[in-house]
Amino acid sequence: CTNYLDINSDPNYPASASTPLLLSSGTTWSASILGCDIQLVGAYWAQHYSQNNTSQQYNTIDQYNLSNSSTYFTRYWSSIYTGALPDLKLVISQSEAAGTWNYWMAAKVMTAFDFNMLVSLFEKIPFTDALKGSDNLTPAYDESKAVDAGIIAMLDAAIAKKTDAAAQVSMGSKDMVFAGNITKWVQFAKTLKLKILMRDFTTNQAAIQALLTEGDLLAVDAKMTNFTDQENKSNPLFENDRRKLNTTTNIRVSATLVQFLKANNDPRIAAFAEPTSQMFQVGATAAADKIIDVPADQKPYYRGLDQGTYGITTFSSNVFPTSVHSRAVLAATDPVYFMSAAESYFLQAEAWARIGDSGKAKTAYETAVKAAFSRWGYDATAFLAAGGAYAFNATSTDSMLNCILMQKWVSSARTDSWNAFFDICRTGIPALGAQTVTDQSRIAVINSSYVTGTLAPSVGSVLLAGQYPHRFLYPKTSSDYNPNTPTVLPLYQKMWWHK
Amino acid sequence: QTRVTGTVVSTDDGQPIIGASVVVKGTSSGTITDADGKFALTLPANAKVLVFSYVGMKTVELTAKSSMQVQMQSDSRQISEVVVTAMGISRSSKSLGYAASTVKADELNRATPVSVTNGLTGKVAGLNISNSGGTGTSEKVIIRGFTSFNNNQPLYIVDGVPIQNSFMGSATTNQAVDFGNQAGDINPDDVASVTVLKGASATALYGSRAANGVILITTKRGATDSKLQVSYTGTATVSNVLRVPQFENMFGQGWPLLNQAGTYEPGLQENGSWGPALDGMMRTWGAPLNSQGIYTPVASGGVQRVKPFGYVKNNLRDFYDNGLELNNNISISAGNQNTSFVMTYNNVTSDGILPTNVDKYSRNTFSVRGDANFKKFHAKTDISYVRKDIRNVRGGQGGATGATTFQDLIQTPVDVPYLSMKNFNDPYNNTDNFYTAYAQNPYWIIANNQSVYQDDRVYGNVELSYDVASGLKAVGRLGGDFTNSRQRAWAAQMIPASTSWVLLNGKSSVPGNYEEYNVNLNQLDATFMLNADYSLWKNFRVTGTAGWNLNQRGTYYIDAYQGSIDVPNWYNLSNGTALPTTTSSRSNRRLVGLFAQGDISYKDWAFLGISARNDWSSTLPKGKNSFFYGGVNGSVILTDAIKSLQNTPISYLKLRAGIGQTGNDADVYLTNSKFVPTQITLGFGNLYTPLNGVSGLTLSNTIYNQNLKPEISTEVEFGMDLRMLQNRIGLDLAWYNKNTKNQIIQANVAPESAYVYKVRNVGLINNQGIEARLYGSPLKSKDFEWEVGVTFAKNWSKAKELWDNVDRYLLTSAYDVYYVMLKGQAFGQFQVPKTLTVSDKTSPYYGKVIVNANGLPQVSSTEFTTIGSSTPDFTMGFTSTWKYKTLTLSVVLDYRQGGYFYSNTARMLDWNGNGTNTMFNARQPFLVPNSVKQLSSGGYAENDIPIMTTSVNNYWNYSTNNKGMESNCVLPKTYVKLREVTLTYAMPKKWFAKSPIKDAQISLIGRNLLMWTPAKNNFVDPDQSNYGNDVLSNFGEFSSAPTVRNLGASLKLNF
Repeated sequence: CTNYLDINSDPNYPASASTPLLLSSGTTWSASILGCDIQLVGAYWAQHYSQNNTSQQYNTIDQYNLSNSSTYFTRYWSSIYTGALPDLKLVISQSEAAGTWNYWMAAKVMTAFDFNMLVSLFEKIPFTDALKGSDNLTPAYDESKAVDAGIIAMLDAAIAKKTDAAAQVSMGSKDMVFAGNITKWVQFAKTLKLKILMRDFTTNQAAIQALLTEGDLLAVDAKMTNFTDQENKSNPLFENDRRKLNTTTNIRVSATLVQFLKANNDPRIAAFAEPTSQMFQVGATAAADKIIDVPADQKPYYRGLDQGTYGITTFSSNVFPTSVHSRAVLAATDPVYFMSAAESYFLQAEAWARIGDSGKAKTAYETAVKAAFSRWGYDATAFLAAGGAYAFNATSTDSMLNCILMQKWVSSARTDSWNAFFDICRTGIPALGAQTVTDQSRIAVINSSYVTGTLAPSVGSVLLAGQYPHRFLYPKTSSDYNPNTPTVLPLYQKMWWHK
Repeated sequence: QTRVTGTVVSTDDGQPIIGASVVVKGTSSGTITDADGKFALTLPANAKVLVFSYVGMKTVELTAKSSMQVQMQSDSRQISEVVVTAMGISRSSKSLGYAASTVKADELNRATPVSVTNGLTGKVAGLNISNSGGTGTSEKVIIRGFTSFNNNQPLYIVDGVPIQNSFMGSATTNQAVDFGNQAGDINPDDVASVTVLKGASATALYGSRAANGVILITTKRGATDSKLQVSYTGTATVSNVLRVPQFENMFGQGWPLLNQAGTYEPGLQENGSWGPALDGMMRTWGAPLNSQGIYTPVASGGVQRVKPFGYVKNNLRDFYDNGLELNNNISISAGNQNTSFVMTYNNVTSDGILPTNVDKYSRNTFSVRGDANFKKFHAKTDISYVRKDIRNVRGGQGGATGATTFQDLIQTPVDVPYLSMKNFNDPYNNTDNFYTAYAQNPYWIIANNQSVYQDDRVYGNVELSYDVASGLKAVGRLGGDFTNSRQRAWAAQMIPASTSWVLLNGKSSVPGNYEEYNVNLNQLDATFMLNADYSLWKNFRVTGTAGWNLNQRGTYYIDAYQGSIDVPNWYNLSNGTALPTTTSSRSNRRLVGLFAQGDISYKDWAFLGISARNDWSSTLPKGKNSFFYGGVNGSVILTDAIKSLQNTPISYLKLRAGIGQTGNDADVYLTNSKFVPTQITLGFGNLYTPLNGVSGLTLSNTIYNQNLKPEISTEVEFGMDLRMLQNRIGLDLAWYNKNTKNQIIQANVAPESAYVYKVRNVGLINNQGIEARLYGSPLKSKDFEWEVGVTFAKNWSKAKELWDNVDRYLLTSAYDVYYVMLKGQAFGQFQVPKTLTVSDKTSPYYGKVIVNANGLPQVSSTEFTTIGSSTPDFTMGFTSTWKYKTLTLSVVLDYRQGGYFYSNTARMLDWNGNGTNTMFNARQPFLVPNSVKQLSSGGYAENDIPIMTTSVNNYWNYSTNNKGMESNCVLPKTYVKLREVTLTYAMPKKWFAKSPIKDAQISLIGRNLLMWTPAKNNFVDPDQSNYGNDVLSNFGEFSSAPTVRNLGASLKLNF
């Protein structure tokens, strides 16, 4: 009778998984919600995108109206803690036993990347006690400085395995980031380390200087490119928004970004924004303003939409119809970036600028801007030349930082908008202004008080004037079941390294 | 051997008694009388006395003679009703120490329902039945309240063998479709009686799966030695929609907007009624088209349609059609000396209330039941074959996988007539130029996005028994239930032309999809038992049963989905721009049990019963898979114990008490960990490996458990059966207290543990309740009789424990309405985000609502307001029958008081300005009542930010701006329904004297005729749901199909 009843092993699924399958799984998990929700929230908050004013899909993001049960917070948390990290943890334990140090290194670095994302978004996170299953269902939250130290130790351990890892049979396509190239994994690890240290430049200056001097930092994109234009197989944001929503006009390009690009005649506008079919013809008086088809000589014409205008009467659809403001460009095969080459160079430029070496800062800055342009098939040379719109201004540390971070902000659009949001919080660049891009009393014209390159207030923000989001709320999926979850801090509350 | 034949008639009216039981005294062998009251039977050796019994008649014992004329007298004192109890054992109802409510065929089928459970509605106290839509859709049957987080279905037993009761279809928010639950397959006309066993002491013998009560169905059997009898019942009813939401009637199409001149202007593409006040003037609407039917701006010569800008009366009601339901049943029975059989064929066809024939239901049932008796050997069999063909449209939420019907249907402005869209090929109505880009033409949807279902099911049993010795019988029974079902669903490709009106307004394409989903379900159930029945000494009688049971269930699913149709309107898995995705899964489980039951009675007025069972289940961890449970019950008939009581107005008084336990095993495959393909759910859509050829396997996000214990329910029950004034009034009372603990669920854990769920034993749910049934015949004369019955049930539920320190468990949610279990609260609570109020008690504004810069209430980002439970305060059923000679009028009312449900229909209508709520303040500017605004300085000031007419829609757009007001979508569940009205006329027999017809009756039938709900719910029938028929259906509905009323006639003929 014992055997007769012994039929409870699930015949539909395996009871074990090989290391390569777990690594590709861990990488896919790491990229999935990052490339969807996090990119989306980052883009709204960094003012690359704004919500269409006649539909409401992402309005809660654009107007900072999110609670701790918001799926934008809970979904990423779960995707990393229950998807990516457990698979990567198994890769680490299985490859440690087998001596396949290349898998071990890749999993360590991806783990470090994921934990760093969590710290950047939530500040305190479970780290030491996390991922222990039934052995600890209520992990303690660690202070972010302790987590940073832990991540850096993880990265150092990964870097130290360079020789062992390089000696293994290549991971090939199972390594979705660098196709088995160990050198690039080491560079990614070092650059990630630099990124974490930059949270507190003053304290970490020596370590930063050492990293820069050693060089060997990331010179290519760390990204996942395995997407194809098929249902369930495409870029997550494209899949979520363009393929699966019943209306595809929710994501508009922000007036903040469009205004900046137009002011500088930046060709990348075509990579971020779709041209409109109609435009405002500004009349002598408000009554004379009208909407016309874009004349041939003005094509392609782009117009951005102000932040948080859904439900705001003055921006309502008849006076400001869908056809006059640009939709964001998204493609099914857009990669999901973990770290771009441009980010690596911008980080180096910022570090050199803070150290005070304006020459090295300029070189790194120009390499970064060129990388950001060439990503979309454009050449930045003329922009960087003396007198060019994006020429490096080495007058002072502030002027250098302003150049670097403004360009880093543009570079992040349609790539890693979440990084722009992190940098806004960390450096205050671009600065938060008090003026909307469009004149709210005369929406056909640009607000004359608006300063190009400043962040505009979200018109329908539920926060008080001057408040800007700085963090994700500790998710309800954690606080409901873990008494160690800290009290939820308000969205606008700064983290320790925020400016 | 002696051959006995005879006729049984009633002394009251001299009419033959049909279905009276004739049993050889001291044995279980016997027969029942046929339609002429005749019976025939071969006596076993030594048999001398026959016992004749019938409900409501005094039992008669007579010495057997070759030809007998038996007269039975109606019994005003005692009802010696025989009920079928656990394991198919017949017992006298008075000996039972637990609640067993029986509904006989005539009462069940009075309104010729299509399903058995539909016929029970309103007739049994403590049995809550709701149906989710039209003919053939699922029915939720809950006995004594919800006890479990996952499964609350009663166990259905047909002739001693369990049958499956799976929900067929897709019970979800998105693309829901309901093809009914399998208990609905039973042909009600095959049923002789239904007994509802409610408490654990009654169901202990059935063990696993009986924790939620048992519905025992006994089928009609043939009579031995009877002539060939043929009976026919035919019913035709017309159906129409029971409830359509009420629309406001003052404002028309548009979304609050100002044009350049600052005046109102209807938004031509809007799918709601936030526009100007209706003025009845002829106005243009929809897309401007040129003569080729292609979108062209008005300035370039495009022409729009013109219609009155006025409220369209009965608009939505006129969209629906009249449905037609036909129910035909023919049954043939005959018997000779040793054998008898019944064969029935039942055909139900229905065309529902949607226009055209997209909602069709057809069910064909064949069944054969046979009995054979050869001396000490008896054989019984009962086999049914069911074939169903269903076509339906999808409900719930649609999207890129195709628009769904009901969600888009209610997005029509109140001035736009549905009938104007009927020709969906008309250039103004087609997919390119439909007036709105935000919804789809409902006529196009029902024609193009459909689901079909087909199944073949065979279920039945074979029972062999042998009289081992006097009073000892051996029974072997084998039951089987095999279902093979096929579903196909498709959504048409819809790609707007590049210059189309809808594309200009942001319509996204639907690539078109096609799905095939095959489900195989099988069950084998084998029982062997010994039944004993002995009289001991003088006054004691002992009966007992001991046996062995094996239950094996298997499932097999295969699903193939083609998500991008290549050639439009050709639905095949190979027609796609990519390969279809396919998934399959199978499962198998076994349970072995040993059971025993013993009953002892003293002088036929004191009874004690004990039952016990031990199960071994394959789904529990190895070595820990054995569990034991049982029950004890007793009853005393005081009026028999103390004969003097019979001289009082009390004619019958029975008191009973019982305590019982039932154990339940786990679902399959919850003990061992596993890896699954990496398939990630995004907000919308998914990311599935393999990606560009690279596949992935991920550790399952559930912690499986090698220490699972069985779920245990323990129930204590007391009852009373009182009859007075020569049985003119009766009262059944029951009180129960049931604790369900160690429920096996996939309990949430904090994700930072690396898992989302842990399979574990959790919770302690307590249900206490009272059930009452009051019945009587206030008037009774030779020609006129009036019978009434009232049932009342009240259940108090409480989630006493969840697990660890957890005090809130999310069952499901929609937008910002959360359906949760809260520790210490009744089962299933509704929560919405808390509207922020001034919390500083010293502030002059303490308690006032805080508004934001737009004048809308602010909500807390972490706290909730609890609205209340889905559990009703009480339920009542009223039945009344008036008989005058051969005319019978019967009425069933069903009343539910209290409880809440979620209605997405309500949310949609408030959001799009069609709902009557949105008429608040006639849409003139207003301040949120009792509110303050927040100052940048940190203090508060009297709110002076009005909600303007032009932004009033924001106030009613709960999910975005005003989440605290999602409470407006949580509606009272209260209703009164007129469930059944039947008027039956039995035609005089002399009319057919020269025809083969023996008797005939004709009935007018109404089902679900009327419904009353509180004013707050002018939206939907609170029973309708697209979430299936268990816990989640209690959440409510997400733009689901409406329920229907049926009105028609039925003819019953006996040949």
